[in-house]
Amino acid sequence: MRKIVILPFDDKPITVMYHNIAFPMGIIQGNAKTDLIPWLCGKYINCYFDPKSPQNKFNICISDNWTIIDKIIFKQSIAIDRELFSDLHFDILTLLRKMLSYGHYVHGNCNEEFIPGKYSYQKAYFPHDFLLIGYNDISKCFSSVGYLNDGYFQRYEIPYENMLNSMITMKRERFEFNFRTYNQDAEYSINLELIKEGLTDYIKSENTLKQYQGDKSYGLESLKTLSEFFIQQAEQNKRIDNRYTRGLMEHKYFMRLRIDYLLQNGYINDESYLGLTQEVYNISERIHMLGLKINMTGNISPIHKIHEYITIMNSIENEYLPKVLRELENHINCKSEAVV
Amino acid sequence: MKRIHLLPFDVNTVTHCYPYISFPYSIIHDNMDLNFEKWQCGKYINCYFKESSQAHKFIISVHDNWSTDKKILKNQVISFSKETFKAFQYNIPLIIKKALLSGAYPYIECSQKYIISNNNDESEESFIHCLINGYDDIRKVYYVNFINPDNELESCEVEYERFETALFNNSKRGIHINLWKYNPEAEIVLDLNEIKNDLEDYFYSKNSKPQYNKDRSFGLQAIADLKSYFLTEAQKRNLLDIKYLRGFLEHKIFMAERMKYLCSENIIDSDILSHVINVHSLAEKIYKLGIEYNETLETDKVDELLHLIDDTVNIEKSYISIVINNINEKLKYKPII
Repeated sequence: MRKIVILPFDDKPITVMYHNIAFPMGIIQGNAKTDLIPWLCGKYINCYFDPKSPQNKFNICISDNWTIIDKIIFKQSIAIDRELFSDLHFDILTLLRKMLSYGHYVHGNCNEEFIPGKYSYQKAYFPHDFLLIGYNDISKCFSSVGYLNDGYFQRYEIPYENMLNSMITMKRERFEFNFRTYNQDAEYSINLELIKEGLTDYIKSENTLKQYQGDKSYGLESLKTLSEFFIQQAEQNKRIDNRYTRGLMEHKYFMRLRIDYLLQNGYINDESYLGLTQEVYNISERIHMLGLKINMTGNISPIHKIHEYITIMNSIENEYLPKVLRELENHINCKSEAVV
Repeated sequence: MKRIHLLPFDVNTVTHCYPYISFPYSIIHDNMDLNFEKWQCGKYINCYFKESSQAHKFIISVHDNWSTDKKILKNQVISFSKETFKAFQYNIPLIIKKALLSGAYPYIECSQKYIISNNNDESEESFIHCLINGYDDIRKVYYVNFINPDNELESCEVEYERFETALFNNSKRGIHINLWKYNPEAEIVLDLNEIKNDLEDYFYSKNSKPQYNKDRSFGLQAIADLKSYFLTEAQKRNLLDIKYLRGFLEHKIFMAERMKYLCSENIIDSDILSHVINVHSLAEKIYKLGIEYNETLETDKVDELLHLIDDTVNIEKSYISIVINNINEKLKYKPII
């Protein structure tokens, strides 16, 4: 086994709202040899707000599943009771290092109480997801990526011993790891049907996919719910969750990227959309900044501005996105007629 | 390590239309003592029909998930690519044997031709789901259970080496080993609320469970769609899928068992029993007619079969609403037993 292994990973994933979206994106960006934008046009279109979720209420990613469906990342896994794990002579450190040495990223949950640089380090039990992208047998450290206590998504090191302790102190009766492998033959083509379906759901505030059904609001409606949630949080003197404001900003970034690509490649034609999508993105940036400001100053008065901005943003999207959708549908229909 | 080890498994199971219903049922049946009838009472109430499915159109289990949600069976997984198994030199017989010794049943998909002795399908790409419930290290064999092409639960012995060939000699990228472990600590309750909801779902052709909500019909509508499907197949002179005939019969067997149990617990009126017994015997006739049609292709068999399905639906329509009312009455006093 090699002494040092570092698998490709882009330290600036295009989305860092949540680990579970940032990790696959960092792997893809670090490995892909071709332009990702055509493929990205079909991603992160719909979004949802789940009032029952304790920690991840707002999400811009529906049915992504680590891009397994797109055959970009393959998964292997092990989830077995500790007793059987040791009966089978599995050794955690050997397993993780060996998997990395064969090109498989290690993904799982650990107790951050033992992870240097994390908020809970040496403070309290805190289970959270992690990604290992490499190891160094000389310095006896794993290379990992994710958020640290300073609030930035970054690359950092975890000594073997700390990693081991973070595993064995997990309050679970089993050891669970997923091993993710990048498919070198992955394709990143545009899927107009997927964009059409995503936009339809987003505009109609629906989710026609199998996953993430239940008591959630979707699309434009979910942004309204998010806005109401922010007000509620502020009124209760609770922090604004900056992951949500960041997610909102990323969602608008992807929308701008999508509209720009569709225009440039002649799938839609009205260039006024570009100004509108830029305007929406600018508003989302302001919302994120205001969210940060509220948390830093404790002054909740900008919360109504956030509410106002989200209302404006929704009304712009409500106005122009149906037109984008119609143009796109026309393009798809013309293309299929031409084929017939 | 023990040379021979065998975990309990009921080979004479009621249900054998699909492995993912049959296997957990058989494990639970042979592991659970006093509470089995109570557990069974709440199972397989609603059903669904999915036209777009190739081979699993009619299913009698909605949101069962191997009973892992109820923590009756605990799931463990080892899912590696074949390259990983080889590169890491993982010993599959050792994994299987240690799992069995820990009380977990390995559930694995592999190439059919190495498992079924009188197999007609020589393709490496025909797969079968196997549940292993024991091993003999002296003769180097596993005790393997599977649903055969005639839709019967079959048990056989498979040499370690042959089983490994069945795992590796196909185009699948990975080997996925599920390990199902019976949990004797699981709490078995007769949840009348849930039974009532499921019966209402069945009766009103809906599904209030979170899963399986798309492209399917439920309950009595699913039965009506199954009937239409049988008719269409017969018009095309196609054979009727034995899985669906069997599934229909099993659904009525479970309904009868449920009503008997509810009656024994004084939850429903005893008059109901004559109806469910009647439906059960009609379902047996339907099953036999389906088999006879498949042997003869005589369409009058299907005409009679379709007519009898209507009879079962009419009887169910007449008594299930009474059962729901009876349960509602009980719920006013005692929701969980």
